[in-house]
Amino acid sequence: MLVIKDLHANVAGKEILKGVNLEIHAGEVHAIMGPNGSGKSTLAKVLAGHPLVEITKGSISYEGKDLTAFAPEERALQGIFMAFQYPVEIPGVNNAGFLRMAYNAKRKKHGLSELDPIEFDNVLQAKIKMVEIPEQFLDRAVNHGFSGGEKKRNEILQMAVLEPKLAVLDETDSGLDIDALRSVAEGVNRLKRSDNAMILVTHYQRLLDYIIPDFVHILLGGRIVKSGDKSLALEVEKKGYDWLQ
Amino acid sequence: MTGKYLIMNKEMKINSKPYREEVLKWKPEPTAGGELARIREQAFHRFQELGFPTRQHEAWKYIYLDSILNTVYTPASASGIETDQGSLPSSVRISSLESGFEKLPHVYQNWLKNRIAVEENVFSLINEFQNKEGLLVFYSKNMILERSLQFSLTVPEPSGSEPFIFYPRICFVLEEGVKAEVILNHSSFTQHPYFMNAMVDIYLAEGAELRLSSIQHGIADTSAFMKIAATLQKKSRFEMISFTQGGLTSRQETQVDFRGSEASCHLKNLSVLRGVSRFYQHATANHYAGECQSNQLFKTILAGEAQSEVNSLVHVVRDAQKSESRQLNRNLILSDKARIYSRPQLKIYADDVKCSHGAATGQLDDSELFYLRSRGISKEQARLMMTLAFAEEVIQLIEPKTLRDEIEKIVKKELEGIVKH
Amino acid sequence: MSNEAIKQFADREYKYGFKTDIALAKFVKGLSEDTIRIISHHKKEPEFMLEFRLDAYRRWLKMKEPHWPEAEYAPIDYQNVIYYAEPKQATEKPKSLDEVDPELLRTFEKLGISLMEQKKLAGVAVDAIFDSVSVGTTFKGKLKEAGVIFCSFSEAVQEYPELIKKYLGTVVPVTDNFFAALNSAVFTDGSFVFVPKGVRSPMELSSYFRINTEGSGQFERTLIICEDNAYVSYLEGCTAPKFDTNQLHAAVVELVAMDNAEIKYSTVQNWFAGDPKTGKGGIFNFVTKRGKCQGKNSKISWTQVETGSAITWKYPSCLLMGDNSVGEFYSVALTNGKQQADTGTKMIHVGKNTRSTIIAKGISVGHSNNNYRGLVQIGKNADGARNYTQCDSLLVGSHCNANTFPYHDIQNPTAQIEHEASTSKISEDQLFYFLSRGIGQEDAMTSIISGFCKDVFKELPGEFAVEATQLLGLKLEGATG
Repeated sequence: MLVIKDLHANVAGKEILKGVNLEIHAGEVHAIMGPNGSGKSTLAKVLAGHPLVEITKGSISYEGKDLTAFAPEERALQGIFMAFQYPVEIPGVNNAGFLRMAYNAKRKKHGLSELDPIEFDNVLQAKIKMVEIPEQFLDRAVNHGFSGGEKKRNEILQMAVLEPKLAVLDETDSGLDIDALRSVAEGVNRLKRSDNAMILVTHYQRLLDYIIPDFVHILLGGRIVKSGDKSLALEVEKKGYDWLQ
Repeated sequence: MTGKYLIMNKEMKINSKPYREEVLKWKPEPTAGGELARIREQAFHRFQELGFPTRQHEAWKYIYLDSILNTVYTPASASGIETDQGSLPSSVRISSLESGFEKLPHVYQNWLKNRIAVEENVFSLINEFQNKEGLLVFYSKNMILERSLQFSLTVPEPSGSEPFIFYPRICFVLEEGVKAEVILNHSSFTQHPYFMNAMVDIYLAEGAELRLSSIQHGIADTSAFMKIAATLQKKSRFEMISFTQGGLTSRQETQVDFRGSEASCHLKNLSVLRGVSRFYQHATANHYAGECQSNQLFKTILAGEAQSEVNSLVHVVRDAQKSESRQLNRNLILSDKARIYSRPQLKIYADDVKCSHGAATGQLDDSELFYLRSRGISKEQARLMMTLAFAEEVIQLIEPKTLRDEIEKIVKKELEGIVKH
Repeated sequence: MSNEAIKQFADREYKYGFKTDIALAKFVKGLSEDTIRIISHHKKEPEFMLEFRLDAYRRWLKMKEPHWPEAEYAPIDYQNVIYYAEPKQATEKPKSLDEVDPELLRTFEKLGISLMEQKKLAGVAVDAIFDSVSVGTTFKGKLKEAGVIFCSFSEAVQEYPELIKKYLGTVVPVTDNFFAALNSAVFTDGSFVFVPKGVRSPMELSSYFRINTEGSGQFERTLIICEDNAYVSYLEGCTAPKFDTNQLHAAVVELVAMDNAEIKYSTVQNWFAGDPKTGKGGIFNFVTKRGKCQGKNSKISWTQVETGSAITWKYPSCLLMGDNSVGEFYSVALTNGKQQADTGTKMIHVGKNTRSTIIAKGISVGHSNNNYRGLVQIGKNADGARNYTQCDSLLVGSHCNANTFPYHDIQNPTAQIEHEASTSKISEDQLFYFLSRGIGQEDAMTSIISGFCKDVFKELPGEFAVEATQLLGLKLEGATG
């Protein structure tokens, strides 16, 4: 599904990713771990097509196509979803309306008719039940005045609605207490299917207690220095990152 | 050099015409030559071009100029600027503007010339050609002077009873990397009516930092205009904290021109006005270069029949991207005859900016007053405490501590008088 | 944000720019006492009206055209304006909408305003004004049953001269300003609303203004009176064809609210803005709108969405005379191309415990110039007055500008005045968030802008809220809810 080869990328003229290689297949959950500044978030951003990240070398192939040739919205329409580390507040824009816009953009892309607010509400009701999110979320402005935990849960709701093929969760666990973490993780687990894949970008092992990864990669200094299974995450938690350098 | 440095206007001349006519009679001195003389002539021509403002001019909308323009003023016999400078390192030079200006490097001469060429304030132009002896304070590169220099705009004791006029003029030039503190003091206790028209120019070269405390108090039957124009080069920083008690008609105009990126200015004023004081305060931050920050905080306490205008403008030109500005004006009205005009304005021509402004006018919060009184504090005492607390935000910024304590004492005394009333 | 996206956003076309080819029965060009006599004669006005006009004209001759520092335009030749343009109709005056020229009705249909009974907007009565003349008012009968008078101004002069005489010029005096004086001299038509004591208008009232004839000015006059305990919500919409020449629109609107009365006045203004590239043509929208809260506990609320006109000078204001009266001003001003807008309000607090709220949102796009100018005045006797003002500006692209000029004049120590303002651009992060969800640039921008305007849009009556969002190029009815 996704093949990253020798990826180099700059942010503000500084090289952050220095040759990342990664291959992901449908049905897999990959965790990317690393200390602050290792390039984790840049890797997430580069997949979503963030304008501040500049690719200087290497390739990203998604479903056999060169992903870098697509604008952010085209990537989203092809099934890539990024759950932001810091979801943006958009005052005045209604959450349900925003979701409908995104949902309809995807339907349009697939040649389907757009749903009106009432039809879409049926879709939404099923989704909010699935990820156990209070209905009041829908009437508020997108992330506006949301607590940290609410923002992260709202990201999962969007993910549930948009049903991505490849979801990139950028530090979705940061800033959450244990209950919120559990609830977010449960939401994510419900969205796991044999035809989609997930990348969990995280600093800590604890998220992986709730979402069990098939693969764990350690990112250090802009490169994946070690890959393994779940046990690698536990090892890193015990020993830190220094031994990998 | 130790002791006082006093610049005097020794000329004795009796004027017979009202001010609006008298200033038109100006002629360049036949002996004068050099760049400064040219600047003065330029200022005179620009003044003639612009003429006196009327209330149609937005910047002079609320002020009553007629009483000044129709008065016959006599030039003060001995006016000037006094500085208790102590011994100064050789890298700080104080001289008369006339003698010092010609020796200035061209870059500074041109700066002043260019600024005067677009000066909008007619009274600053008048100062430019009328002032007889200005002062030039020059800090050489990387000079860091720990203590503050105090300059007093000395009010002379006149011989007659006629209203008199004087034109203090100071030019501060801070070269690259200079850090300095300056106090401008205009305190006067004379009973004679007078009109002070002062002009202060400030040039901050790259990385220079100036902290200016401006104090005006004890003024009764006075009209005092002062313009402070600062040009800020890259990464320089200008901080100005001013305290004003007003006068019959006081006008303070601060203009900050950002000419280099990453510079910042912080303008803070506290005015405590009572009686028939009228204080017109204008502040403009011109963001001609990007990535600069301007902050303005103006607080006014009004009692009696005082009037205050707070007119602040942040102007961001096209392409001055990443400019940031904050303006805040808070007013406390303590009497039913006081009047406040507040105009926090924005002119924004660049899209990548963060500018905000706020203005709030009100009275003391009843629930807070009640809270204090419920703890056994008298109503009068509670009012005083809260009014003082309102003023403290600015007072606390005044340096050095001796000056801060002095101002605090003055404000306290003023407020006691006001609150009791 | 990419420059391409900004450009696309800024370059969208004016879709109401078509012109209706319709024969004119009469038109009067040039300004003189004769012009005024002709207008008054055409309208078969009583003597007091002619006197009112002539008095205004004579005063206008002595006044000077104002020139605001922030606007630039070529001088207006007042002799080259058509002061009266009346479409030719089959009969001298249509008795009912059935007699109105079908071409005219089609014009309004095209604008989305149906005057035909069967297609009428549910719950909204419409008065349609084409150039100088009202072509028809809907739902008149139903309103009359409730006691509400809603008709064209010309009709009101004939039918209710006493009311006109009593209120005309009492809120906006003839000499108030240059353009108000001009309007008082030459106004042609407009709407009149009278809601008697204790009546709540059973439906929204609406006027639709259309300038069709090249070179014509539109000088409409609207007068709305709400007696004690009465309520009305009134809307106006405006469009004009594209012409290379500038057209003058100098309207005067007067509102009077008595004890406990409430008037809600909404405007969606989309006059032709001129060519976005050259700035040629477009409407000069110089209007005077003022409401007087005469009675205690009365309320006047202005909501405006200003998206059109080459130049807009407009300050819908409230005179808060009655104790406890309330004034509100909600405004969205969007400028694009070479448009210049200078708009805001005046809240004049005279009575005790009067309150006012100002929410102004300015959006500048293209090479436009967008100013907020507003006065809050608290008079000596206005004990306990309150004002809250919020002005926010949004800049799209780097060739436009946004200015904020608030004026506060406070003469009473018990006043509580709060003013907040900010200027910002559409944040890259917000935009990227939309894109990453598969939503395109243009939809993302219009959505963010409509979110920015939400506090104002929510004040608009339902039908207009939709029109306003569409006007801003928004396809997302749900997203702004």
